Amino acid sequence: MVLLPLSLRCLGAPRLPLVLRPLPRVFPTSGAAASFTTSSTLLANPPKKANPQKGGNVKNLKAIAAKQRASSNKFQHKRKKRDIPERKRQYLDGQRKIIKNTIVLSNTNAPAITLPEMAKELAGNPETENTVFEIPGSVVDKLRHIEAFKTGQHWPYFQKPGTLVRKESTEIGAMINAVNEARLNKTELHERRILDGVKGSGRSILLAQAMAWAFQSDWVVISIPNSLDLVLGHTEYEYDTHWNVWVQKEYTAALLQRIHKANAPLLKNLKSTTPHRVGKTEKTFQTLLKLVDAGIEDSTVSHDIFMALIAELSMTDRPPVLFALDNLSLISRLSENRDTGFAKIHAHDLGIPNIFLSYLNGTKDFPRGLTIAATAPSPRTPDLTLALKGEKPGPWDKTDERIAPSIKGAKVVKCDPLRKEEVKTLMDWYTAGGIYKGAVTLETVAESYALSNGNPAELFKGCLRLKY
Amino acid sequence: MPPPRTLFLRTSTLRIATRPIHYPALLRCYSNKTSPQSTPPPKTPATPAQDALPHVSEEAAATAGITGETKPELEQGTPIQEMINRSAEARKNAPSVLKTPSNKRSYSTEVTPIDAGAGLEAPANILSMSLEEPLPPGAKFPLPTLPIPARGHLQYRYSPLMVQVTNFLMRHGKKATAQSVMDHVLSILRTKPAPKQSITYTPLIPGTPPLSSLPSDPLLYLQTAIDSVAPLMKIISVKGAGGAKDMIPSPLNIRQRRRMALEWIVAAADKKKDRSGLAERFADEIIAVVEGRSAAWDKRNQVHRTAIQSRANVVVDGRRQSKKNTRRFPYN
Repeated sequence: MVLLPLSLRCLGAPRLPLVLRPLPRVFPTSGAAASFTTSSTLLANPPKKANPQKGGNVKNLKAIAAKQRASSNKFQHKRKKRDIPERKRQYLDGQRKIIKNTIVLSNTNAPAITLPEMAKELAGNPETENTVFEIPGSVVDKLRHIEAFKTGQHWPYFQKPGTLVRKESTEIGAMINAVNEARLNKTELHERRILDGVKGSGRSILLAQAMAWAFQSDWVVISIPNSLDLVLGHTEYEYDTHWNVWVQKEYTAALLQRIHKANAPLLKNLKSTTPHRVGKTEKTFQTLLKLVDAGIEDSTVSHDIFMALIAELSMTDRPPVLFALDNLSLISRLSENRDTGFAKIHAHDLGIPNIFLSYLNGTKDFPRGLTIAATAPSPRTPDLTLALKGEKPGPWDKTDERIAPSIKGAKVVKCDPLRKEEVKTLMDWYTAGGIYKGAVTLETVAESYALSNGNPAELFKGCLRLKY
Repeated sequence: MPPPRTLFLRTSTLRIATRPIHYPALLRCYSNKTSPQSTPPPKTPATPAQDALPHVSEEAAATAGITGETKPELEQGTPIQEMINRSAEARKNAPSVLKTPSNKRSYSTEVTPIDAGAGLEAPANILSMSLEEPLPPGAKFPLPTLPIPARGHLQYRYSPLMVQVTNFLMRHGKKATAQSVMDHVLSILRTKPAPKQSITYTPLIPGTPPLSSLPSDPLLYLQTAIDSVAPLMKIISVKGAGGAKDMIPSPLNIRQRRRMALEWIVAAADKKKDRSGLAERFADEIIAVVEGRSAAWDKRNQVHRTAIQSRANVVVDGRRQSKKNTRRFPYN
């Protein structure tokens, strides 16, 4: 009996084999068919269909459809007509960075103050300590070109840029004097210093003061204003097999541009006869200015040019050189740049930090000059901190063996807190400049001194803002 | 006689017009007047007509008008000391206070005109000041000068206006962020060019110093803008007879007035097309208020116009005695 239907089917038309039969698209959901799962069917009611027999009629349906069509047409019509005003962009690309980094050196609303000029004759004179000086106008432009002024300092609030000469300033000034004397006597003297202190203690300002005196004494000033740009991984870098370091050609070209702007009159008169390796060729440049220009024009050879410039300035008959770097702590650790194996590159393997540190630790020397670095408040660099103190790390500490030798032999200049007399001098200056509105009395001086803990940046903030 | 029904005839409101001009820089509360180191008042006035008592000349002029004598110069008032020196009779009849020389200054500074640079130079004597003070016996630290000033308390060390504006700008309880915005606002006000005098009439609050001197005191700048545009009252609408709405003007206190002004200023700042940071927008709007360009002025005028129109709706309780308004700009 069971075989009967099969046998009957054999008599009919030939059928496709079972495997080739397409699967039904829709599974039957009627009660007769078994459900695929044991879970209940969807709770939502199916969309209601207009049933002419249950109230709804065809005429109504047509009316609804027409209405819908009309409304949809209307909607489309509206969408077409509505003109969406193109919103002005809040900032253009890179505009914020420009605003953030703009250096303002004058406030025209501030009252004019007559201050003595920070002349080169006053460098290193202990009598000038605890006095506020005006930075001479001829130097201001050069300092601006070389980015000696930083944002967040006091410059935008006064009519003219001024600065307090402190004990540390005279120490640096005395060194500049000594190098100038060596230049006259045709002896050699290359000083190496590291400015250290807490946040806001005036290291960067001290660097600016050193540069101001150096510019006036006709030195060549090379400055790396913020070493963060080198180690952040935002600048282009590549490995140079000739120098065996990672070179940052675009940054170096920009650095050469700054050197050109600040030192052009001096470099123009410095003749050169030595051939230098530029790319794959050797070239001789008539003057050092032309050498620098070659690096600015073609950034692919900028590192070669920078090294050639340093080599030229290390020759015996060259003017003294001030080689400065701010934020030494940032190049005393691994950088954010990665090598081909995706390992972090040590900052000492980057071209510019490498050459700077070789002058800072005395591996290389200018015949006459000053190599000076300022530490940074952050990040924490325990190796550098210990090396600055002259201490050795503990036996179980994770240490970076390269840090201590990199600053070996450089003397540390501590930027100490202000003395009470200096607080008063600064407050007098702030009063004259329209910053501080109260009376400068025993109490107010003592109050500001206590609140700022002798920190110049905090003192300025307190005088500017505390009495609002 | 019952007091007038209209609010605008109150004596307290009428006083605003007759009040003498006080230059706020002289009323700054953080100048330490009691300090022994503070500079003594100058012995001679900077200008001849600095006396705050012009009545002497005016009185003499009135008398001279009656008696037919020559009137004294009224354009430039005569200082009393000069008059006494000139006339023997005046010297005889002068009160003993004027006869005996005293170390008090001979003129009042109440109406001293201010120029932008005055008072900013450091006095000479502080340069030779010793920084170590002799302590009273038994004291380890110098004793404080009593009474401790109002802003000497840690919790109340900032100006009330400053605190109110900072709190107004604060979002999500982030006070430090609000404070840094406030810092930015004040430094923009300090460094931007001074506001220009508007061509149209801008009713800046009486006592406003010369506009050119405002950037040197950014908080006063802010205060001038806010207090000038702040409305004197708000309009409360109440259901009246027959379903009509009655507009009743109701006076605001200083904090409420400032809040209204701040709301209008921030609303106007937010409507600006070039959307920059909050601090820039807000500071620009403050400058616009002082220059009379801000949309906040329209709102203020609207409120005041409605208040005048509906002044009859104000119910004044005749039994209540209102206190005389002794406040002067800048209120603190």
